[in-house]
Amino acid sequence: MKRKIFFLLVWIVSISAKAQDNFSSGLLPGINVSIGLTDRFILSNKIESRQVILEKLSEDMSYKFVLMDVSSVLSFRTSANTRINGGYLIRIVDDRTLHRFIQQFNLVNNLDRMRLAHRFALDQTIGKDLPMEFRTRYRISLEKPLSGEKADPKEFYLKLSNEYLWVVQNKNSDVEIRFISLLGYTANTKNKIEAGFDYRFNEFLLSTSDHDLWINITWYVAL
Amino acid sequence: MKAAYKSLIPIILIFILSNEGITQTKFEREYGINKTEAPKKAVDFIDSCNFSKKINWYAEESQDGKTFEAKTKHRNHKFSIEFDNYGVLLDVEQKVDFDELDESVKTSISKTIGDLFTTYKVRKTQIQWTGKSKGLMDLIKNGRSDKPYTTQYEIIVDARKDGFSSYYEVLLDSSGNPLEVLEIKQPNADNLVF
Repeated sequence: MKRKIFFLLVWIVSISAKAQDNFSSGLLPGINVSIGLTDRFILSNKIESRQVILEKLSEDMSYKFVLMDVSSVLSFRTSANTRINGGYLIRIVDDRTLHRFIQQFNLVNNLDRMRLAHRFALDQTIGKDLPMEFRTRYRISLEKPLSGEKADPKEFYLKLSNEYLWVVQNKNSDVEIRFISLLGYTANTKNKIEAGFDYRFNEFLLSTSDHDLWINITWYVAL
Repeated sequence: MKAAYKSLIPIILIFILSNEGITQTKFEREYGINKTEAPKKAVDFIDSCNFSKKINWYAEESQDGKTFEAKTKHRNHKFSIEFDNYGVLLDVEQKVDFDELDESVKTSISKTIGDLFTTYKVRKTQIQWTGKSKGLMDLIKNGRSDKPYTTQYEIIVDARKDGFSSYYEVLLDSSGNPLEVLEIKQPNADNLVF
């Protein structure tokens, strides 16, 4: 049944893409471990991989390990609901290594029976023989508990995100849009897990677009 | 493809194993319930209030026990009516705008909170009433009662203290004197931040 739902989603996304567009789908598993250093500082470490299962809809269906990201972000709480973050990510893709520098500002609002979060971010990526890539990002996320007013331990929640990225590299620019829909489970105050779909539409300004549909599963641990 | 799914197994397994002991730990949890799951005495009290709007029932479990809450909108305000496990009425809370409070109470509360913090913004104001159920019923219906009852104010503020801002819950008596000041720990937001 789950397999049918997955392929139905893949089909819906693929028919919305133009014939010459690229399409790929796969898994995006990750673990985020946050360490509270002081009341105001958190060190967040994440490891995430990207694995393609399907490319160009039914033509190629083979497993391919695409990349691995390892990141470390230092987060400073500037007020009751705002944070500024700065960090570094190393990306291992094929036989190449890319380095990314990250700056973020976060605002999390506690509303009645939901949380609304805004993330404004900049990042710069460098790699051997590659021009530096600059990205400007904005993400809005909504977390809605499925029971009660907040996602207490042993309760499920729904998380919806929409992100816009403006990418500039070598005087060329592009826009990427992401829609993320996840079901989350708060196991206790220190552990939560989220799983669902992450749809990315990039090379937005080019004649041939890229559509990706990932199954995202992330485990958040707070130490 | 099988290999791809296999890569998810370690995450799921580690997550499950690491949470084996969860049931033994302390926790607080609020969840929606059906009216039929609430104590009969509590349901009878709410029925006798004749609310016209929908009533949502919640159960709250913590290390201190289990309580039940009926939430509804009445007279253009949100009401929360809390009962113990046996349906005994514990308190009634009415959410109001800070400016709706009596001028003298507002002045007194503003002075108290102003003395506690360098700067503050009121984020939420609730009037809490405790007493016998007949008096509380009058207060729910008309906002006043000639029967004995106690009034307290619960104010949530986004306030700055010692150069750092946070959310605080300030509980005050009917004259605006502080009874309790608690810093509200924000729930983990790693999944919304990173």
